[in-house]
Amino acid sequence: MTLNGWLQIAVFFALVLLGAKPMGSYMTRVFERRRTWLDPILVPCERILYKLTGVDPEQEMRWTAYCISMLVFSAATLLLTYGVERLQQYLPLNPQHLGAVAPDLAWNTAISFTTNTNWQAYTPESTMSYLTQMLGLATHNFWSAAVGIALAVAFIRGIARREARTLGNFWVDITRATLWVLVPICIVFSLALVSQGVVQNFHSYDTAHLLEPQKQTVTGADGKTTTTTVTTQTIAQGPVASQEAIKMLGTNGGGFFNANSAHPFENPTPLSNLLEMVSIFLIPAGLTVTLGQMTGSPRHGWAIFGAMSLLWFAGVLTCYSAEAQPNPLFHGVDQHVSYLQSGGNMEGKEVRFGIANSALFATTTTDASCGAVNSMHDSFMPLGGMVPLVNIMLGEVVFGGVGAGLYGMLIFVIVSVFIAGLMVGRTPEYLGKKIQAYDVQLSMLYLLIFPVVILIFSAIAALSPGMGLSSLTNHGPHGLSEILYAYTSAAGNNGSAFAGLNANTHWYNISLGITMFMGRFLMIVPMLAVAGNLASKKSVPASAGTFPVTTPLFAILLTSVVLIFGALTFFPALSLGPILEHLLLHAGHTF
Amino acid sequence: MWDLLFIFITLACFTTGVLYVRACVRIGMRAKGECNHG
Repeated sequence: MTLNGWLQIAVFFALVLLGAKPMGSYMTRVFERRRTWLDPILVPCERILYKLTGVDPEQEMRWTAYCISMLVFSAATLLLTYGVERLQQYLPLNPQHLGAVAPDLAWNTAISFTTNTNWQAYTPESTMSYLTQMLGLATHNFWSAAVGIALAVAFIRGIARREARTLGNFWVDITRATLWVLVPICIVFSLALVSQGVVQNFHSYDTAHLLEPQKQTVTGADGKTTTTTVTTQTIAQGPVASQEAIKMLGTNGGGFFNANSAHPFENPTPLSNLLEMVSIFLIPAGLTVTLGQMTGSPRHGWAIFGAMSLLWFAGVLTCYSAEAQPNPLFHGVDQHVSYLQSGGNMEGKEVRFGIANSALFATTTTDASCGAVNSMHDSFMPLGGMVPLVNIMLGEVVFGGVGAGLYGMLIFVIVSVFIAGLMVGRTPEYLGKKIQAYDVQLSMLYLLIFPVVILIFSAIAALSPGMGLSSLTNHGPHGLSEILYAYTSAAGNNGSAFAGLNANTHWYNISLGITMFMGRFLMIVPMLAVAGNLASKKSVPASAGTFPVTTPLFAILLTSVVLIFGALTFFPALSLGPILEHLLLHAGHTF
Repeated sequence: MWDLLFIFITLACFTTGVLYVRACVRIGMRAKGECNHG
């Protein structure tokens, strides 16, 4: 580890800290329908949209209506994306004349983008037309992020309101999240990325002639090897910058290119890399401020921000230190940091980003449910690769996905307050609301669905030679990590992958599709039920026995609950995957 | 054929989601003693 590396990490965190309050205050104004400086342009657009769709913006919804609206919206947009993928050969903006996407892959991709996962079991530049990327995928980047923000705001209203039956209007919330929050920031961010060299065009792919022809040897299925001389390279391009902005800001993560943010057309410079990382945390960090302001307890919002920061720092420290160490099996190779090289484990990393920015990106993208990558997590050292995996397993509540991170953390807050209440033998209270059996039952339902889905599907895949195991590149504990990572990433709606798994098979497309659906919607339903129940409660005044949720002690308790829950649930699986691999690596075994 | 199957699976998944909303409502009614069906 170097001072330079830590300084870059500190600059990143300082920017997140500086951006949280203005972003959070702005979102408070937007969702409380107070005046903002964008109103003269956006209010007329909003009115036209409501007139066209027949939405009454003054009509409030109970949690059930809010939830069913969200489900209907998601189902409709999912089917739209599926249709666009299947019909892309007949549609415009397809200069490469790409054919229809296979049904199982199209379905997997449609679910993936609807659920804000952006798991990609395909190579985008050779599978999706420009129209599919824009109309089918980039639109979902906006919609799924807007849905996440809307749900978080609904949960905040549930905490803030007293003896109310409603949580707001779903259609108004996603409209305002899109028009006021996502679109304006993405326009500015896209232009900033273009200034750094991210491409934005509708050209067909270029062909470049190589200065030095390359010999390529391929072994066929029959075992015969054929050698060809490659003299040209296809340069894929397209409307990248506009998709890149929402990919990061909406914590979607689906790359325009297969190499994602490691591709120089998506992430060309250290500055674009910094901007992309900050944009992952911008809205989730801002939402903690929104929580504090809308509930009238700004210090509570900052306490949650503090707990998230603690968990983020622990992840960065672990990942950076693991990747900065030399690989113990490379004897006689200079792996030390110097002015000429980054040192440490540079396999799968971009030289222009080095160890610190690769470890920071990997930690940040999996703390949030982003899933964009600027290095290949599969090539990390076992403990370095375990950090992204653990981050997702904790529920991606460390700032988390836009909206999803906050409401996930608030479920942990309810469990923490409940545990604190058990310790002192009092009915737990949270910001003036008594936490009762129903709240805890549904919070536990929310928390348990996640590991159940991951562990059951991983177990089936790990025991099925013809379905799960045949897709693996590596065997042993590393192979288990690849399977575990795939289902964890899908259930957590992250979308990043350990690169060693070929997921474009019937089994993985369908099982991961179902996992993504369950990890998104079956967790949202109990969360909204808790919000609806909290909104209906009376407010009780704080007493001497009330556990304060604004103190560092609360932040530490919350951090501990998140860690203990994750550790107890997933430690057995982790010990058979990355932990075992780490021990065997030091004994000289690789996989 | 495959398209119809995947459209059916999609609709089945979201219908399950709606039934799940109903189940959560019933859990709430039970917790509050408003449901007498076991």
